Amino acid sequence: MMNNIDKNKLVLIRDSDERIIDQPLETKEIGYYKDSWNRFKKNKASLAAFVIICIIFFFILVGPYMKKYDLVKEDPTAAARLGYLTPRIPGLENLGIFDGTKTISRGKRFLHAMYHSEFGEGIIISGLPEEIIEDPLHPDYANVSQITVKVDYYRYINYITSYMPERYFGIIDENAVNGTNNDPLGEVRQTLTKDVFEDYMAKNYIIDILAIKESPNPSNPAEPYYQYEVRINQFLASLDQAPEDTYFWFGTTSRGGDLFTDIWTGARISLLMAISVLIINTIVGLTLGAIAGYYGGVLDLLFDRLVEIISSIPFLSVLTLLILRYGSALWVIVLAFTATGWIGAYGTGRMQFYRFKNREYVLAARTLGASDGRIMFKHIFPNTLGLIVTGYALAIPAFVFTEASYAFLGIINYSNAVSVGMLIQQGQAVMQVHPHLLIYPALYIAILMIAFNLFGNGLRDAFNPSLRGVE
Amino acid sequence: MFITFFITVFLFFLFIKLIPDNHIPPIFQGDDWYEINRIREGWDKPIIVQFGYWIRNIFRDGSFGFSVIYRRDVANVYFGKIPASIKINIVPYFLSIPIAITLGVIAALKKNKIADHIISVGIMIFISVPYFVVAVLSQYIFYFRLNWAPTHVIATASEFAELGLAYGLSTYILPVVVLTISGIPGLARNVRAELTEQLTQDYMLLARSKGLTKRQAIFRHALKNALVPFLPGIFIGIIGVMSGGIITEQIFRVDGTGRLYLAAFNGRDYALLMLINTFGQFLFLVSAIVGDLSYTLFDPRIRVGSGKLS
Repeated sequence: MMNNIDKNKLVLIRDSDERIIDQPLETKEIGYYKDSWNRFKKNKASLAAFVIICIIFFFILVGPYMKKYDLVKEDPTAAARLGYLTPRIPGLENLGIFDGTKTISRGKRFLHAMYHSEFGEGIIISGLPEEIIEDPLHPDYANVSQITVKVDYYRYINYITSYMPERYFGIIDENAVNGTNNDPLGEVRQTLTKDVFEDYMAKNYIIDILAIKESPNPSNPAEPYYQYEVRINQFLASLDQAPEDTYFWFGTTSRGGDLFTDIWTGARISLLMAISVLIINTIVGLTLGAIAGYYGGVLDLLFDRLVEIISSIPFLSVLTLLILRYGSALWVIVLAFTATGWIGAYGTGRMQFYRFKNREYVLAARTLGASDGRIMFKHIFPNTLGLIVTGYALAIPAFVFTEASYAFLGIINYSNAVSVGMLIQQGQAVMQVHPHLLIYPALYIAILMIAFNLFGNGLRDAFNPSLRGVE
Repeated sequence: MFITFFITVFLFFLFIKLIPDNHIPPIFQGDDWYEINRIREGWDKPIIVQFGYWIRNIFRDGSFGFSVIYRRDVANVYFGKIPASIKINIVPYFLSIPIAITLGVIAALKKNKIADHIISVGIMIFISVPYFVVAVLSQYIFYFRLNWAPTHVIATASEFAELGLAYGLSTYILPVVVLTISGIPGLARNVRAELTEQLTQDYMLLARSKGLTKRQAIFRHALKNALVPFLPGIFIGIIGVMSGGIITEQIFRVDGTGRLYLAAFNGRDYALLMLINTFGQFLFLVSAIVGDLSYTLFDPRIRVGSGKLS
């Protein structure tokens, strides 16, 4: 290509009249951060991870407030009746996912009764054979005791907690065999005083009245006390909502808490803890590392021994001993993580200060009369900042990972807070019957970890191009 | 190193003794038990003297203390559980290393091709997602959903006897596979990074230019150099097999040391905790020594006493 230029076009400089002067660069100046950002943008996976992290942060900020639901605190018994509801999200329910249905196996007489009762009409979506609908004791199904059907689980729960318990026919059979007289409707029978009864009547909570009991009023015999034994629509009474209008996006936990709220509350706590642990670690580690690296000598040797001892103590031991001593409050966990966690920041700080303390710019600052403190903070510290901040993006998931693992094992067990690890542990216990309690917390933590690790790697590659590929 | 070991063990002892509810006489045992141990372990003496007693008991009686929950000598309890932990850990350990190295080598050789991308994504996912999530989800999927696994936990000794050896072994498949998978990504990622770096070294160019095929050059030169940093780790890992994993044992109901730790933690069995921590620290010490020695074994460039090791 070079050889193809027409020789006639070439003119000797001294023959031309033109003066050649330096041209200013027409390109824009690119700073360190801009350069890093450009590199980061090229990494599509990290960019996607960044977006996911932003979405997660959004939910962590607003998620706990998206649903107003305080039933667990106000009335734990009523809330427990709404436990284990399946996920249901408005809009998506029409697509066949998150529609609050569940496949269950129940006795055929129970299903028959539910199908034909006025209150339970339409609960069974599919799966009930024609023969059972006509006759629960149909000869074709003589050997089958349980039938698997798909139900609208919200209405089903409402049915069994307010109209007919699942053990209804079981109790009747037991009574027949043993000659006992247990109340088959015992679980749903509720006794109300007159005031409450009238209030509920006005609000249309009451399904039917089973009995009215009269007891004498000692002070005024003319007006005896009345007690009403009734069946109450549980969803209306607890939530003031029909089951059709109730949406728990990720379902409910065993105690009736909203899983969606719980996940984001737990996520918020663990992220807040992660940040506080990181800040403490950095401050302690950097200060000690700076002193050791900058002054060196005997001090450095002493610190070295100390760090060697501390870093040889396994984290598990620190955690268990602290929890056994002080209980499982949030600050204990933070303390346990910082007790050995500052070693990392110490190493970074010491290395950086050791490396930079003999540079020319430090010598220049010293010549100008800067004190040690000023040199450390104003001159060397900014050089270490990039390394530390990019390290944060990988340290946060590491904390979340560890915290969730120990919460899962039950070693970390907050008395007054939820944690995603604890949610997964509870989900694991019931995963056979209520898989949603396991799947959503597990998915959340999986997505969070993948996103954070991708983001952290991308950030590190962007800020330290020399480390790229060394994963 | 020995001094560090000694100091750490003493720190454990100190912290355990500082926990307030340490020597409460148990209600049903009467005071005899308390008195015996008070004399034997010096419970009414200062902590540092108690530490002396503790060491004396180890060397004189081989006793690490008395377990509150198991009512036996703790060494008896703890060392009896180790075989179960080894049993569950050893097979995944030897399976995962060759697989990890193979995957890492493939990824490094096919860098930026489709095979590398697939392996890298897999590594990324399994290194990110916490191990317990993988284990629990695999239990859910393979047992409760697909019903491939015979049960979601491993068989106990009595189930082995009742349902036969084949059934018992088949219950091990799921945890072994999960453990193997969890052991792969870390090593595979490091092998990939190291080999990638070695492939760009000058000696590779020399090897090619003196007439070796690419294959010969990679396997005789690059791979050898790339694997050296990992061999001590692999050796150390064998020692680590003994300590077991709490998460695995909790999820798959393995009656090993990890569950014992949880039991000791929940039951506040301090003598047992002390032994487990000490033993873990001892394994750490041994593996550090083995690691240092094996470095010199595998990498002739490093010599003991050259000042590089401390």
